[in-house]
Order: sequence, then structure tokens, then C-alpha cells
Amino acid sequence: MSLVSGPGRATATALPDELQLAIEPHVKYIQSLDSRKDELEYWLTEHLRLNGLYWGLTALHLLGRPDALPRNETIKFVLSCQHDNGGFGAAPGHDAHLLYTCSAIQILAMVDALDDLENLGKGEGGGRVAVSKYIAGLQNQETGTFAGDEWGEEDTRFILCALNALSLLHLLSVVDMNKAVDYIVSCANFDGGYGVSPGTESHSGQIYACVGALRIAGRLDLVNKDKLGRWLSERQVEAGGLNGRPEKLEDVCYSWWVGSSLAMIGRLHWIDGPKLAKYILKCQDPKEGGFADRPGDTVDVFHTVFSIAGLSLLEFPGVEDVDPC
Amino acid sequence: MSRAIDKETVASLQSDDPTSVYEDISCTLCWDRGQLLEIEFLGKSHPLPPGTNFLLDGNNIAIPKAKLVQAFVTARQIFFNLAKDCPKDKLQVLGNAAAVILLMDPEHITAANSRKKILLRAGSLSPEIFKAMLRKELLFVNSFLTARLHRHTKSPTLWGHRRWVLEKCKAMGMGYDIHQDLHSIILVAAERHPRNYYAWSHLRWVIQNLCVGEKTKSEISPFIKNWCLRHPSDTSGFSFLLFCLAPLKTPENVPRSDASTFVCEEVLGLAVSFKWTFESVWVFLRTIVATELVASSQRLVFLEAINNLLTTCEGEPKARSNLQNAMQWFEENQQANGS
Repeated sequence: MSLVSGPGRATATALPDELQLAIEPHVKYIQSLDSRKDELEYWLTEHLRLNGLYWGLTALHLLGRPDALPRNETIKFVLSCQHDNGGFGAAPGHDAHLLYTCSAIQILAMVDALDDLENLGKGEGGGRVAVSKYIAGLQNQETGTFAGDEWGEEDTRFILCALNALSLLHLLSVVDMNKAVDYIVSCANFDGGYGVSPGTESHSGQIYACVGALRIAGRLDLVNKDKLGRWLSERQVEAGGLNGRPEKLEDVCYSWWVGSSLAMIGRLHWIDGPKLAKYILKCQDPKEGGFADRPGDTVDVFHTVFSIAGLSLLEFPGVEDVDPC
Repeated sequence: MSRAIDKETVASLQSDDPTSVYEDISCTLCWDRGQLLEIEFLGKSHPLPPGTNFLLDGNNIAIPKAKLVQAFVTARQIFFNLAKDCPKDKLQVLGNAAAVILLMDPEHITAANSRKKILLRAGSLSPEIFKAMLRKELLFVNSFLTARLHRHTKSPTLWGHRRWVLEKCKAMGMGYDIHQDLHSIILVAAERHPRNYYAWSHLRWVIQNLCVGEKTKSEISPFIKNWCLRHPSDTSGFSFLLFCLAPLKTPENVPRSDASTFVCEEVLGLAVSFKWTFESVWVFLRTIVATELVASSQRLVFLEAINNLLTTCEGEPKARSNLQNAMQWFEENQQANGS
């Protein structure tokens, strides 16, 4: 499946009262991405392929069309991305990394194929065990955070990747949860937000990762919910969309990073939901399908899934319920 | 974040010989000039004569996007043919292919990793060769990070690669000059990509791992402050300024309230003079004034400044909300202040 952009463009002229979610075009858009195998863009986005597949599949599930992509091909492709060390790369031949390992497990869980992983998975111990060993090996034993791969870059995003995958595999016990939790707590800033590591700038994406990880660990009690909620609610701009940090442009994908963070801490009502929903719908291409980052821009599957997920959080009709993390 | 390629570009790809385009671009990109390359892309509105694959003027290089796409297609093939168990005499070829791939898309982790592997293989030869190659690699990644390329200047993959190279340099006992790095690389990237999250977090890492933390923060904070005052809508710059002014959380350290108070005074003064209502400025001010870092007298100045500015921005809802949010936030979060 390719992570492909275009050809659709989001409408900038839709009337607010008549905005509808164009479900069939979005389904067709996602399905069409896989058919562009010979096209240039397939190669240009190869290094994100597994993420792209996860995004497309998730969007289809949320639109109530979980069978719209071929299940067997999906499983075969995911397993072909696995390395001998148990980790997954973005596509066959691409290096293993937590980002793609997380997507791989999420996809297999979504299509109910964890048994296929047991039977056909690579790595020491095979199946779930091999993947959990790969993930556990990336935890910094001293600080509790996670590196993305053997090259050592640490980022709070990777903590969520690790815990997300392990919780789907029911193998959270292989990592030191307490240390991971302590590390996240050390990343809490005075403004209530979280960054990539202790003392770094608060950022909506990193906040989502930290709050999501704490939720998996059952430790949302450690979040200053009012302070964080306040910071997150300030992300809503006049036009109704959300940005990631002060003075940044709004981007529809923050409907998810910010929206689900607020939902997890029970403060989604601190933003104007209907205004956000209207903004999200302005970002869709109702004819060709897909969503763009802003009205008028080119659509892609990344912004498509996070728009639909955002609408789900807002309980928009026609969208399945989503778990905030 | 769109990676879209338009129809005209795709059409133009049919006309050229992709191998020669690749050879041309990879050769000039990877040539050892001993200095930073200034890279930019040319769009459709800047067509080049047939057979010309890039423009070069000194160390300035401009590459048509369409040509880069062609070069990428060849680079990808070469890369994946060689990546697994690359023979020693093909390492340069692999590295060059990775460079073109990264120019096309800086988030290509596999290409970035291959350059690390090539360096490590060189490292096993001799320390001097390793050091020389590390210096070249630093120039390479610095060129991408300071280029006028929107995605490269903020790429977490490229900043992470730089961190890895610097770690190796440190392990080899190579010197590090924070002032040089700050002014010629990090602040350049920060300026070319506003609110550059990964550039500023890289700078924090550098200070904590390659420098004498507290001393370095003191030394650079005047430069950071001046940078922020020239870029008042850059929340990342201000966030870093706060980081500079805040002491490490050790019991022996006394909060540097003099430096913080001085900076706070200056920023507040300018905000009033220039009628700044930038959200970045007021998020910075509300945070610093609420902490124990500044003298309590600043709190009154802060509140007065807000009331003053509110009278000047009657019809500007965003400006008003920035100011009102600042006041409310401060009132909710002010810490006990002994001074």
C-alpha cells in the first residue's frame, strides 16, 4: 500500500451548513492508493509504507469499512517487513525501527492476525515474544525512555510506540513500566505540557505520546490535567482548527493529537467541538476523497486518518468510536 | 507535509537519461569541498537548458525538483542493490546514493543509517581516517540542516544523525565549539525554519552533553535573548531562552534571578514600546513572571503592561486573547516568590 498524495484537493469554498462527511469518496481514495504501485510516488513514500498502511486501514475501520482492503495481502506485506531481530521496517529491505514495529503490531491486531505472527513471525522465540524482546532491548535501562532503534535516538514518541505495541501483544511485563512512567513525569514542563525529553519545549505531538503512554500504564493520575488542558485548549485558532504550539499554523492532524490528549484527561469539552468539526470537514475533498492539512491543500492518507479520528472523538455521525490512544 | 509530485514534473521525467542525471547530481552533492554547501530547489518556473541538471555558483547549488526526482529513482535502485553486505570498494557509491535519497526525503531512516554504518567501517581502519570522515559527515549533515529546504531544516532524522556524529566526535576526543555551532548552524536552521522544534532540542542536548552546562547557558543567553527579540513570534526561541535562564535542578544552585529579571524587564519594555501582542512573547512572559526566577516587582510591571496593551488592541480578538490568557494563566500559576 502506498502512502500517496493527491490528486484531490480540499475544498475551500464549502458552505458551513451543508458540510457532510463524504464517506464513499474517502473509502475509494484509500483503496486507490494501493493501485498506484507502478507510479513514482510509490517509491517516494516507500520509507513510510507500513505507517501509511496503518493510517489507511485505521481510517477505513473508523468509516465502518474494515474489509475495504484485502486482509491476506495486508498480513503478508506486514510480515515481509520483519527483520531477524523481531523488529519491523517501513517496507521490505528497510531498517527496523520502533515507529514501524508499532504500526505493524497495530495493523495485525486490527485485522485479527496476531496468530499469523505467532506462526510466521521471525526472531528469537518467534511471534509475540520476539517482537517484545526487540522492543525491550530498546529501553534505556538507566532512564526508562526508549530509543527508536539501535542508533540510539531517544524521543518520548518512542515510549508510546513501545507501550502501545506491547499492550496489544499483552507483554507489557517485559519492560520496566515504573521507570518509563518516572521518565515521562520528568518531562512535564511548568506550562503543563511535555516535550521530547526532560526540559524540552511542550509540543502537542509529544504530549499525545506522553499522555497516551501514561494511560496505558494506568497512571493518568500523574498528569496535571487542568494545566495541561489549559495549554491544549489554547491550540484552537479563530478558524476552528488546532495547532501544535503557540503561533503555529493550524493543521488538521492536530485534531487528533490535541483532541485525543484532551479526551484522555477528560477535558475535550474545553475546546469548541462543533467549530473544530466544521474546520475538519473543510479540509476534505468531497469528490475525490481524502483530507489535507488545511483547506485547499493536497490530500494525503496521514491527514485523512487523523481528520476522521478527530471527527470520531467529536462523535460525528457516520464515524465509528475511536479509543483515544 | 505533502510529498505530492505534480503531473508536469512526472511528464518531464520521461525525457532525460536518469543515470546521467543521477551521476551529475550525486557527484556535485558529495564532492568534498571542505565547506558548507548552500542547497536550494528550483521549481517549474525555473527551467534549465536541456542537459543541465543543476546550477552551481561557488558553494551554492540549485537543483530542479524534477531532476532530483529522477536522480532519486536511480539512487534508490543503486542503494538497495548495495545496502546489504556492501563490498568495501562500493562504500562510496552506497554513501552517495544515500545522500541523494536523503536530499529527496530527509526522513529516510535506512539511508541515514547506511551512512552511519559506512562511518563505522571507516572507523575500524584508523582513528585518523575516522576523524576525517566524521568531519566530512558533519559538513554533509550541516549543509542539509541549514539549506533553504523546508523539510530538511527541521528533520528529526537529520538532527538525530547529527547528534550521533557529534557523539562519535566526542568519543574520539575531537574538540567542540558551541559558539561556532550556535551561530553558523543551529541558529541558521532555526531562522530558516521558524519554530524549529528539533533544532532547539538539539541545542539543549548539545549543551547538556558536549559543554559545561550551566556555564554555557550563561554564555549564550545574551545571544539567545537577542535572537528572540529579532524573532518575537518564535515560541521555540523563547522556550529555549527560558531553558537558558532556568538553573539545573540541583540543591546547591541558587536561582539566577538577576539575569532572569534583567531579561524579563527588557522583553516587557520592548513589548510595551512596540505594542507586541505576539502569543510567543506573552507565553514566555507569563511563564517567567510566574516562576521564582524573577524579582516580584516584575509581576506588577507585567500586569500593567497587559492592561496598557489591551487598550490599544480593541478590534483584534487574537491579540486580546493572547494578553488575557497571559494574565489569567499567570494568576492561576504564580509561584510563591520570596524576592
